[in-house]
Amino acid sequence: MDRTSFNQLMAHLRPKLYRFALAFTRRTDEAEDVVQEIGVKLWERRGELDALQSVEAYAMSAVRNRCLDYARSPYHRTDEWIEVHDTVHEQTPYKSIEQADMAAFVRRLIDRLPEQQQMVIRLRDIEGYELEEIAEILGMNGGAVRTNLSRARQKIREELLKQ
Amino acid sequence: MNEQKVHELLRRYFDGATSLDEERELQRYFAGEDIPGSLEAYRPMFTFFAEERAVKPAVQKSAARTVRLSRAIVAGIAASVAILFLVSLPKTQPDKYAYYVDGQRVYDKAAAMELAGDRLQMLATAMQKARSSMAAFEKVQESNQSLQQFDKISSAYRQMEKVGSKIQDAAASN
Repeated sequence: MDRTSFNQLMAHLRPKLYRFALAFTRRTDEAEDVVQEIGVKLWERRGELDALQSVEAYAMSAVRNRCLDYARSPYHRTDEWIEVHDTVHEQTPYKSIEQADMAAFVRRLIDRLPEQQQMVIRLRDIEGYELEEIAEILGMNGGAVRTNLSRARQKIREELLKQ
Repeated sequence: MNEQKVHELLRRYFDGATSLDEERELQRYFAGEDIPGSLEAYRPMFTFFAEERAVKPAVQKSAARTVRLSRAIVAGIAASVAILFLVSLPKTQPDKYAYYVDGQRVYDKAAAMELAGDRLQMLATAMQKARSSMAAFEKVQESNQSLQQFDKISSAYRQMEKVGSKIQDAAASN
């Protein structure tokens, strides 16, 4: 893969990788570092990328693995979701504070889901992957992906209907 | 899309049975203005997803450039470490600062001083020997000077003999 093709690929992938990393790290700087790290790894392995079935799934899977390592590291802090909240809030053209608050509420609901459910709902409802692609990224079977997706969505619905 | 159709899609959505196209249809619907009260509770969910999709990294760097920069940074760090090591060496390990004694590199200060003392002693002995040799040479030179004096005396004596011989010859001829 030449430099131009690689840069085009990264231009497409980078936002997805970043959002996925941000969901784990909850820190914009850490998420950017993870994306950069994965980008460098992809560049160093650019000769092998054409042989992969899905470079995108491979890259997302690499972000997941990197972020899981990060989450297990002693340097990971779990009390910094506010930074993520603020980042999104700045970009949100909400018509009311109430709507903004409700979106933040949805974020907290997703953050409280089991890890696999969080990943599945993000990959589907935010990144728009097919169930088979999610299965490849997460190393799960298709049935487990659909079950996790359904449980995650239903949990959010339950909480929203209580409001 | 009418309200009944939306409810039907939502039912399948929460079962994880909708296609990506159907889910995009729901996204578009909840991004609209007129949401009935019975569906209003679901709007934050779809709004959140839409807003999350708009999140992008602040800085977009080229991975290829980063690889080159990384290598340059590693080289720079290595050079900096080497310089720091050299600069800090005399402070942190003063005794390991090299001393050169008679062409030899010595790291221990005390050993260097001892070796330097030995070399000075050797130098003094050599100087003494040199002086002795000079004295012998001077004696030879003095002897030579004595011989030269003797030559002068001999020469004078020979001159005196010649003069004496001439006086005798003159007396005999007279």
